[in-house]
Amino acid sequence: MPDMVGAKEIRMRMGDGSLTWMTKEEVRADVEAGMNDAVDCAQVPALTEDDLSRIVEIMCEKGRTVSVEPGEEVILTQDGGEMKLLNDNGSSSPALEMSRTAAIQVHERALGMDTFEIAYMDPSTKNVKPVIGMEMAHCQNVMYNTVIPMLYMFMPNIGLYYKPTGPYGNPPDLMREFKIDEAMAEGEGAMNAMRDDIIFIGEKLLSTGIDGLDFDTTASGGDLDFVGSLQAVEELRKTYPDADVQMGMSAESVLGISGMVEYKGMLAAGLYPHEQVKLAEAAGVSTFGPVVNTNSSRSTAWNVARSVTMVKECSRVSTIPLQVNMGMGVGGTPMFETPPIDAVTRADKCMIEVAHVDGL
Amino acid sequence: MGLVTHYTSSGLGGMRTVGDLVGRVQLRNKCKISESKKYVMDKLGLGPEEINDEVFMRNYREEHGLGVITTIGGAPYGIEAKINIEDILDIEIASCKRLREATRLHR
Repeated sequence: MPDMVGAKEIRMRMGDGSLTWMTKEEVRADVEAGMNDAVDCAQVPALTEDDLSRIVEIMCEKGRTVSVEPGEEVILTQDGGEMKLLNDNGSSSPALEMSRTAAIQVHERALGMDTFEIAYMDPSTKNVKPVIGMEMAHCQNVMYNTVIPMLYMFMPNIGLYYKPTGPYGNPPDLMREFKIDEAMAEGEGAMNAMRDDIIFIGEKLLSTGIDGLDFDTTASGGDLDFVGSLQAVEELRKTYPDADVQMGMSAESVLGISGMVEYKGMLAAGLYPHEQVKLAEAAGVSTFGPVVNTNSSRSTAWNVARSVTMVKECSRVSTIPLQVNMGMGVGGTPMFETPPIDAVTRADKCMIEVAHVDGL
Repeated sequence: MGLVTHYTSSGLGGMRTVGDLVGRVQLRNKCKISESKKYVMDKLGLGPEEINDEVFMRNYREEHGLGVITTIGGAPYGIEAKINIEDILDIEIASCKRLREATRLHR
């Protein structure tokens, strides 16, 4: 079948960032397979034929980078704030020696950011609390000297409330010992402590005049982490009804650490982006950042199609803007600390044109 | 550090155009991207071909005191520019509100 098998002339990235070459037919097959995997995992509708064809076209464009048409631009947001230049926790930082405020101004004035964030070097809720006074003063300094919208980013991170870094027993450990009731009680204790700390630091930080808060890597500790964060948003809304509250997720599905915890009558465990966003809306979140994980052993075509399929449904059902996570290892981008620009720009374009997101 | 990549593929460019203004409206009013851009265009009296044009917006922002990324001695900077943005977008900005309250200034 020589006429059905073209030359391997499409330059493609794998999910780990490595280069490979594919035929257009192979790209099409990967796009369909990625979509089918998303439909199967998240129980969302399949993409249309037009959507599939458009993704294939974008993935097969010859240029080194691709972009949306003028007028179709979206908002850029970020997580990690100034620490992305200074000391990102992933050990992937340039480790530049400059002030925190200067690092923020670099993003505003040199890197074309539409919005930005302030972040502590160890930005988990539990670690921000002891240095809240210093962080408030830093926020005041930044807000006087910047123009673009500025959020304060932190990670809810319920994990630090469990032993050995916190006072509560670790539910999975207790369950292994068949202490089910104790596991539930300890998990809810940790959730309540995290929620109260988020409310404490949130009210302090918002009082400095920052534009809002970014709950980053929400649900990294599963359903208890997610529900505690949603409860905190609901409480903060009472004091700061106009604040911008951005909620970015940590993974495409909420892990069931408890398996029983609910928010507004819905079990949190196992929810996918199109279901997560409805709880975020109910809590009072302003903008939602869905995550779809990258499979590092599949092609970017497969990963982008899978991500777009899940996010398109999330976008369809959402009444609040979506600022989808497109960093390394999510949203179809390769899991590599310097993601290749060919893959990143193709993932961006597909996400905007097919999934209709409002920001990245 | 892929921010420049995202900017070239799909970003508005922040203060180089109206990216910060559209972002502010989107975050504050919880509105989708098309509604956010329309709000900004209506308030600024500009069209879609102007709001993403770096050359046009450079002059517009300087003329209206909305902050630019390059040095202009004496031009509104930081929170000064944000107070002008409050007026032109007809929205309240938390840091400007705090400044007025902390210093007993009134608009």
